[in-house]
Amino acid sequence: MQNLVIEKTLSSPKICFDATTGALEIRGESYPENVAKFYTPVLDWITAFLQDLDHNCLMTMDVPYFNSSTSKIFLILFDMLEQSAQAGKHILVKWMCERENEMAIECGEEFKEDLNQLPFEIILYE
Amino acid sequence: MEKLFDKEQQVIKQAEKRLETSQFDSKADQDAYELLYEEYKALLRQVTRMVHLSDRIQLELRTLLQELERVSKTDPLTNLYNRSCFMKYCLDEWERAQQNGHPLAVLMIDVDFFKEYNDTYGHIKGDACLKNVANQFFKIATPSHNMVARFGGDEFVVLLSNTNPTNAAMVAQNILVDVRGLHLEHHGSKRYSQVTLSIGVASMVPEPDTPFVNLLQHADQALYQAKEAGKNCVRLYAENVIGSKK
Repeated sequence: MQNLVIEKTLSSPKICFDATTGALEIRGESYPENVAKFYTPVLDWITAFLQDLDHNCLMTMDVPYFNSSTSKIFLILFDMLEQSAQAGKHILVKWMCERENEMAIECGEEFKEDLNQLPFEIILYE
Repeated sequence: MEKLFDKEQQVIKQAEKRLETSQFDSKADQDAYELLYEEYKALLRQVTRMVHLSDRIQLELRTLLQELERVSKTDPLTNLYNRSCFMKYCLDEWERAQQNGHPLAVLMIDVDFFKEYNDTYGHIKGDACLKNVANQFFKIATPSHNMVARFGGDEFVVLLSNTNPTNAAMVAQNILVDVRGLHLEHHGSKRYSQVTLSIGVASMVPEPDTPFVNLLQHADQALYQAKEAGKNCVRLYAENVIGSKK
């Protein structure tokens, strides 16, 4: 499976998915003009990746600001990861936030509330 | 409506009731219905969460916007309004005064020998001096009537709504006395041993075609007269002398 790399822009995050190591990263603010268009290849890649996943997967997300449409995408993404975790796959989500970014921290807590099987860690950094 | 998604919750309850009573033509129908029910619940949960997230983000943005608005209007050193905010406020007040025929007054205030103050005590103490002086102005600023701003450097400006020349000069005289009462020492002053002010006062009932800048220029001319008269005094545009030299 090919890796997926999409460079960061002013309004969209960097996507860096490594199929071999299982290290998936989303970093940067997310408010693209067309959220569905931007995230369709991302969700498609993850769908295919999860089907064949037979080793650990670490999803690292450092998204200090995102719009409502992106939050819908993230909810879909976490549901996909949750279902895979329920199926016995080893997935860990690290939600990275600057210590002063209360909004990002609170949003991470909101996401975490809906998850039962998927480990979801909120990591604060300076 | 007690909760935002009451109606949706009612739909879920109805679906659960139907599933419990097994009102289906076949097992396949029941399975398909149950699948839709589960999907609806999952999507509703997503939407509910999205609304929560949006509310949080909107609250944060609203707070930031309010802070941005405050910062854009305020002089950071003194916490008085800044020049651009003052000018905008004045133009609105000027228009109102033109409509109702009330007088508007402007006080232009200068800290005497402030360059010498900075030269003597340094800029940090110079800033503290301006803060001390500015604190005396807050008592005359009432949200609905008057406005005080830092016009730039050591210059302050006051707009007094519905105030005739005599009353404006009295306000200026009180400011002068209040700042003298602080007894801020100023050994760099060429005339006095403490911080003092010069104040120019002008008041007029705006004529329909008169721009606000005229009133400002009158107050500025009066301030010039106050400085020419030896500072530490109030001058009313154009000739009346209200204050006195120490």
